[in-house]
Amino acid sequence: MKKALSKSGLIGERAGIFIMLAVLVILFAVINPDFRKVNNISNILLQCTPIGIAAIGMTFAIISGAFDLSVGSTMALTASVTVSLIGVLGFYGAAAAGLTLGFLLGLINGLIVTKVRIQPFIATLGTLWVYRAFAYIYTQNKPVQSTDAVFTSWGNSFAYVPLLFIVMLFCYLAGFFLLYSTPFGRYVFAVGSNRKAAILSGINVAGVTLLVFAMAGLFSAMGGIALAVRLWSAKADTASGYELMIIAAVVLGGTTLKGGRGTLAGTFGAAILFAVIYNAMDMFQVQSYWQKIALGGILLIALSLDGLRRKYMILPIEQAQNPLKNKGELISEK
Amino acid sequence: MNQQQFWKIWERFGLFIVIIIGIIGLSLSSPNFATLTNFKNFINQAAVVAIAGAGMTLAITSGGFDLSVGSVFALAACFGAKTLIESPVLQSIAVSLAIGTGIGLLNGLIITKLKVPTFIVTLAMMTIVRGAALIYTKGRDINIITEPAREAAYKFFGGGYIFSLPVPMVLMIAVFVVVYVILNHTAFGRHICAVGSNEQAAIYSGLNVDRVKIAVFAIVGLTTAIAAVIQTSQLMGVNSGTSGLGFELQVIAVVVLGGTSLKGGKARLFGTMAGAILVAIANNGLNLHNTPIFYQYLVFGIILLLAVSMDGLKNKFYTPAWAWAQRV
Repeated sequence: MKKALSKSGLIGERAGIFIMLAVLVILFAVINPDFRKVNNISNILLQCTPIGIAAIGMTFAIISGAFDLSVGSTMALTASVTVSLIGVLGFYGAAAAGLTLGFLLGLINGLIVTKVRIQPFIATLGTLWVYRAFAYIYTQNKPVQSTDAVFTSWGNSFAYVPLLFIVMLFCYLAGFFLLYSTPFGRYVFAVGSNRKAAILSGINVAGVTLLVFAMAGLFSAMGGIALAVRLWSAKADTASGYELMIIAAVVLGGTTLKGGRGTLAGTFGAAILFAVIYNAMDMFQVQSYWQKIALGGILLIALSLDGLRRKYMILPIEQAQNPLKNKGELISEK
Repeated sequence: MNQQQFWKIWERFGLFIVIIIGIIGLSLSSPNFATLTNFKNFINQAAVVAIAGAGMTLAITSGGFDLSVGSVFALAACFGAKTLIESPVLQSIAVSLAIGTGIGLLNGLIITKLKVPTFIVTLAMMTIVRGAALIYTKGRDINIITEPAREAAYKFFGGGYIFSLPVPMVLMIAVFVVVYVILNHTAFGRHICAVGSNEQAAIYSGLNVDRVKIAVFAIVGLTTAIAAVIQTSQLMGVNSGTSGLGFELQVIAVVVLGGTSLKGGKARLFGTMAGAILVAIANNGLNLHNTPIFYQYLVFGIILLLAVSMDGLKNKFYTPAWAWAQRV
């Protein structure tokens, strides 16, 4: 019985987000004929790309026990720089410049965390404002636009599959490879679950942290550019508040904020889930104010279920193995 | 003076020294800085952030933090403003404070009873409460236009004087004294520190950790609502969409700037007040020199990073590298 419980708990953890996604998609598709149109599905896949791509880097960061609050600002700054450089360098040159900039901004975050030794939360809270201010100063608070043919063509679809979504899939493939098939990925998990043990076993913890932040910057830049492609423009206040949305997607996907545990597939599912919910709320003409309430409510319900599942399914098993453990209480997570 | 002495002095007075340097610098560079009206301007600005910061200091000391304060700020202001148009001043303030405390309680209950991470609960509440504020006002601005006597009475909280001291400043000091007494001279204050430094140990020693946390979040809501009343009284109006937007991160930054550790267990209450005053002075100086508003973000971010870097460097001298890496 206990074994069965623990098994179902584990399945809930791995597949919960996809079950929820499937249930919602089927529900919406049955209720609303407009929802199941191919064009709309294609639209959802397009909508999920900026957050979906940026969330890859965040998943790495959170699994390694770190945190990046500056991603929204990084998205705005890199998107603004990319769009403004298209006229000079062409789209690919500008995108390369934007990605390099994102990588560097992430590297700066990483250096502040590892060399000056500031907690990630505070370090990236500081750079959140600094990068946002750079975006304002760079654009002088005016929107930057471009109608370059190559730039806008990336917003098109290939047989109903948006090109940006294909880019996102490749990003996730790269992420899967890095996280599950390289020593670096193992180190990310090791650093996140027990930093001291990781140091004592000879892992270059500072190096791993630095690389994780650089990746978060790089993927944010890519997400920012994806957003710019969708809108054909960028502004200094683009993507403000996205950092919290992205963290929410990662956590909803089953990655714990404590670090050491998490799945990239869950993040992928959560990013699509967000887009599905937004899309459905537009379909059902939910007022934008109520959308905020619904989104917060869904986040709360999903994670309450997770909290209750831990309390009633996982904790009893852990206690049976170790009666002293937690004395019937779960230590809450930050 | 050897290094150890230097860091000791820095830890106690560093922020105050920076504030004094800032005041001297700005007085020299701008003739309008050292005037009474300007003093009132920046102390009013500082009081709003500092009062919410007092509650947040408790939350961070107990090992959590609250991302919903910006939205709670907006909702308390909206309800207060709308109530004021039809009812007496005291009723309006009571409504604001009740809203703030109520949402704080709700945060605490969800965190402790449903076992959802604090970060997620307060993040979700941030969007929910903002949505509620927008629905309540139908997305429109509220301008407080009512009987002149009532308007004057309400304006007292944001712009009045008690013994020729600005009321927001008096309120700020009062809130800090109360929170100081709670933190240092009551069992509840000890419990907050205990929960923040080692939750497991607190459970084993028989503390009702849930109750401590719920009370802390209620206090955060209450102080946020007080801040909202002050600002609403200064502006005599509120916009449900933009009021308090980004306030949560500002408040957390000010608390951290003051030296309270995000790891919990260690409060630097008056550091929070000093941090709020420092940020207000910096913003005020930028305004006097006519810089665009977004330079304030830049300066704010840099002040935060510099302050915590000094802290980081200080600790580097005392702790071995591996213990450090653990802490980061």
